[in-house]
Amino acid sequence: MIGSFNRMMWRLFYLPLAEVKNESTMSEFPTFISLSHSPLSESEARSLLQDRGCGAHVLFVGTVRSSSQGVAVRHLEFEAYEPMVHSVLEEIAEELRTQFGIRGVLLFHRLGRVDIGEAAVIAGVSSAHRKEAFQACAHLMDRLKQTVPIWKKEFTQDGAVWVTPTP
Amino acid sequence: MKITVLFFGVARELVGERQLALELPAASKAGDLRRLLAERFPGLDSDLAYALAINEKFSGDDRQLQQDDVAAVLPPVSGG
Repeated sequence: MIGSFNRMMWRLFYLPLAEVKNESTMSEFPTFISLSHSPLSESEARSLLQDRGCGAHVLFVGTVRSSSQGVAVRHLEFEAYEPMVHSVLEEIAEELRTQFGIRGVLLFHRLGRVDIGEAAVIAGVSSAHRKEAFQACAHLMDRLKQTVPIWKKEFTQDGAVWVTPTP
Repeated sequence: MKITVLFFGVARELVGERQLALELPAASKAGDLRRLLAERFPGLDSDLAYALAINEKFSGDDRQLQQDDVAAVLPPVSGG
């Protein structure tokens, strides 16, 4: 009982680096993907992406807003088709490398309930220079919202709705 | 032939299940699965512009299905 409590608390506060493995199978550069029910760590994302050959490391942190189209949001819930998230993101990472010449790619995404102010997503890229890193990180977020099989349900004062894509 | 169908997001709620085993005639295609789902589950029709994945790959309606395939009903995504 005490053991399982400790393990749960530990998972809640510290996701060890060893749990997120480089999944890249097509590239010499790493792709880090993590779907987690626990809070996302910016410092872990930053450490994983660190690449001495890169002068730019861009991280985007997407947080849960307190309102959506004028309606107060209570919290969000996310679900994913997990194995397909990995394969689709792997393809997107290759697309980013081809298009922008970047190196490392990282995507952390929360699952389950996420409260206001918490990070729902961390997207990151590393590259030699900043311009392509900013562009590629923005593109990664666009592609996430277009094709990665993750769904968001918004809980508001008016009830709960599955969010439909925004351009 | 027997296949497994997974449902996510609003599709999961419409069907009331995360996964179902379905029996389809031999030589069925993904489009035949779409028609079967529309007949069995109100709302899982042209009202919901969902994508189908077969064995974790996005697939068009002309994709041939095989015994033990895993299909997934993927409503418009909304991650991030």
